[in-house]
Amino acid sequence: MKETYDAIVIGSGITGGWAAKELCEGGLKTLVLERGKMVKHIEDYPTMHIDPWDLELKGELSVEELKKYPKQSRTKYIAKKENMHWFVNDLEHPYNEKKRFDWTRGYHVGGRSIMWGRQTYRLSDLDFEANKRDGYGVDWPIRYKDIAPWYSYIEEYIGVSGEPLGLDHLPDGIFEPPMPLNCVEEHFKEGVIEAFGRPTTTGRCAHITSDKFREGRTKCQYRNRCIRGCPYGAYFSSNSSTLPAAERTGNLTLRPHSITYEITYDADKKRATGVKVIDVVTKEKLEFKADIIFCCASAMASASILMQSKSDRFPNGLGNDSGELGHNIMDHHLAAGASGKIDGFEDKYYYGRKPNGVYIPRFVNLGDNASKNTNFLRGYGYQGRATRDNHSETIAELAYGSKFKKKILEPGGWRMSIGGFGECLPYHDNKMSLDYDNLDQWGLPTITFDAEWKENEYAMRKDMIAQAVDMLEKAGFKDVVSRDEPHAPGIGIHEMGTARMGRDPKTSVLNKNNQIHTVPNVYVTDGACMTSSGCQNPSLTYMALTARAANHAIKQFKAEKK
Amino acid sequence: MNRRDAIKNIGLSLGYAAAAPTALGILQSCSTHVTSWTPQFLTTDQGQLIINLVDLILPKTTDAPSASEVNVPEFIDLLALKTFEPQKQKKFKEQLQTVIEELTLNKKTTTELKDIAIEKYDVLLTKYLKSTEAEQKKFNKVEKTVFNTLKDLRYKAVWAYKKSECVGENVLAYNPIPGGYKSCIDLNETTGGKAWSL
Repeated sequence: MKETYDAIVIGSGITGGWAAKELCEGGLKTLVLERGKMVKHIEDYPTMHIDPWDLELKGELSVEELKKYPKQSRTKYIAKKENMHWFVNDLEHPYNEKKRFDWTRGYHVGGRSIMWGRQTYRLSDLDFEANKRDGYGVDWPIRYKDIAPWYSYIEEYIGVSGEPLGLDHLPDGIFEPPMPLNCVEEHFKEGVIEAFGRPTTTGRCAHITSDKFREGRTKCQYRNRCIRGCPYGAYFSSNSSTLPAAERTGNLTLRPHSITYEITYDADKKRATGVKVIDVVTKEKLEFKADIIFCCASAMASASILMQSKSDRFPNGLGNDSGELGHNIMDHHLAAGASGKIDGFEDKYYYGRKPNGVYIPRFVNLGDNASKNTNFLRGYGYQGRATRDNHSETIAELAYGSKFKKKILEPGGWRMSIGGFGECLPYHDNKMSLDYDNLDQWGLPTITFDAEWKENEYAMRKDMIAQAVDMLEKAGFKDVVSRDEPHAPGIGIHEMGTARMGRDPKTSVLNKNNQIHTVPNVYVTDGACMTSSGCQNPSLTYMALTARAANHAIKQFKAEKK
Repeated sequence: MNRRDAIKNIGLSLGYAAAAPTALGILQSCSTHVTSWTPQFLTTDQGQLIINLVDLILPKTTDAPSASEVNVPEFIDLLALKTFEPQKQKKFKEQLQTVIEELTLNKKTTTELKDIAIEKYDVLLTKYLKSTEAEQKKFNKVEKTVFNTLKDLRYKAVWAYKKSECVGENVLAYNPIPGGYKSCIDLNETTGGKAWSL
C-alpha cells in the first residue's frame, strides 16, 4: 500500500465523508482512515428489511447481549436488536467516568452518519455572537455570512426537507418539499401559533422528498427504518453519498480497520507530516505521510488523537498551546418536555411511517426584551411528534376476550409529545483527559470524562418543561404529563467543543479556517471545533465547516505546489 | 440478496395497496401452532397456565387467531429465559405460582392444575381484570400479586400477539414499504379500522 498521499482524513463519518469528497474532487490523492470495519451502502445493512417477527426476541435484546453495552444501554437509544450492531461494544472499547458520560459511538465506515437523527438546522448570528454577548467561552472567529454559502452548498447536495419560515435566528435553507404534519401535529401547530404566536413547523430533516437527480439515491419511502441503513439512500449518509462521490474521482483510498493514534510533527517545518496507525486486524503499526491532515474522528476521538500527539514542541498534545484541548465539552441536554392526549381525531390516521415530526424554533432570549428570560442564558428548541398509541389502558368491560382482542387490533388514542433540545454553555472545567494507566487492547490510553450539566442547564430545563406543558394545554391537549430525564452529557450524541475555534491562539485551538493555529496543515472539522453549541442539531454545521475548510486546504495545497 | 429482499427493493414502484386479506386466508396462514410444547424456562404447569390465560385474553375469532395459535405462550417463555435478569426470572416464576395457587387451592383441598376446568380461569380473569378500582383497593397482598401478574401477562400477550408474523402481516394493516406519506386520512378507508403493524 502507498505510504504518501496529498491528504489524510481521519474518520469516515459525517464530516470525514465530506472532507473526502471535497479533497478528492479537488484533485488531491486522499487516504481516509477508519478505525472500524467496512460498511458498503445497501450490501452491509443486514437488518434493513427485518420485521419484528423475523427476530427471535422480536427486537428485544437478551441479557447476554446487553452485557456488551453497560454504558450505552443506559440511554435506551441503542437497545434494539435491529440497530445494536452499529454501536460499539463498551467492554471492547472502554472509557472512564469521573462523572457519568453517555458516549454513544459507532466504529465503522460511515460512522454515526448511518444512525444519526437527521434533523438539520442552520446556526445564526444569535449563536455565533452568543459567547461574545454573555462572556461564556470565547468569541467564534466566524459569523453567519462566512458559513451561509456553505450551508447552501451542503443542503443542496444532501437534500434537506423543510419549510422556510423567514426567521433571522433559524435561517432558511435550500429545501426539498416539506414532510406534511399529521392531523394532530397540525392541530398542535395551529394551537401554538394562535395562543403564543410561536412559529411551529415540520422538522427539517436530511431526507430527499423530490425527484431531483442525486446519483445512487432516491426519495424517502416512509419506512422509518433509517437507523438500520437506508437501501434507497433517501436520507444522507457518508455511505450513500459522499464516499461514493469521493470514490468516483479515482483519488480516494479508504482504509478500514485502521486506528489513528498519533499525528507526526516536524518541528523544523512547523508542520504535521503524517499519522501513525494500528491495523486492527494484523496489529501492525504503520505510518502514512501527507501534506494535509483532516481530523474528522468525532469530537472526543479527534481530541484524543491530538492529545496523544506529543512532541518537544507540543508536550501537552499537538496544537495545545492554549491548554484548551479536551476542555469545553458541550452537548445538548434533552428529554425535558411533556406529552398529552387529545379527543376528536379518532377517525383519523396516516399512511406511511414519517421519519420526522414537528419543530418549534427557539423563542427565548432572542436578543429583544419581549423574549428575555433572566433565569438562564441562551435557549432551546423543541422536537416532537403525534402518534396513535397502542391501547395502554382498557375499560373494565373489555378486560379480556374477543371484544378486547378486537380493540387492541385498532389504533389507540393520539398522543402528542414535545421535548426540548437545550444549549449547553462552554465551561472550561467540563473536560476529558487521557488515562495512561488504563490502556485499551491496542495499548492506547483511554479517555476519562469529567463533565456535567450545571446551573444554567438545569434552570433552562425548568422552563423547557413549563413551556411544553403550557403549549400542549393551550393547544387543547389533556392529561398532560411532563418529562424530565437529564441523563448526563453525551446523551444528545452531539458531544462537541474539545478543540474550539477562536480568534486568539492563547485561548483556542483552531483558527477561523479550522486549522490548528500553529500547525496550519492540520484541520479539525468535526464537533471538536465548536466554540458554542447553539440549540440546533449540529451535523449540518459540522458538514458546512468541513467543506469550507477542505476548500481552503485545496487552495493552500495548490498555491504551494505552483 | 434473497428473493424476499429483491422484491422489497422494487418497492419504489409500488402503489398504495393495503388490501385486507380474507378471513379464510388469515387462518390458513396462521397454522403454525404446535400441539405439544415443553417450556424451556417455565414449569409444565406454568406453561399450561399461560396457554389457558392468554387464550381467554386473546381467543380465536372468525377473523383472527388465538394467542396460542401464534405461539404467544412459547414466546413469553423465551422472553423470560433470555431477557430477564435472574432476579426477575425468580420473581416471574413466583408470581405465576401465586396464580396457580389461587386456582388450585380451595380451603382445605388442593386440585392439580391439569384438573382445573377452563371456567375456573374465566372466573379468575373476571375477578381480577374486570375489577373496579374500589375492589382493587380491597385486594389483600396475595390478590394484589395475582392482579399485577395477570395485568403484566396481558400486556406481554398483547405485545407478543401483535408482533407475531401472522398477526403482523395478515391481521393488522401491514406495509413494510409505504412508498409515500399521507398525513391526515380516514382511518376506515385507510386500514379498515385496523392499526398499522409497523
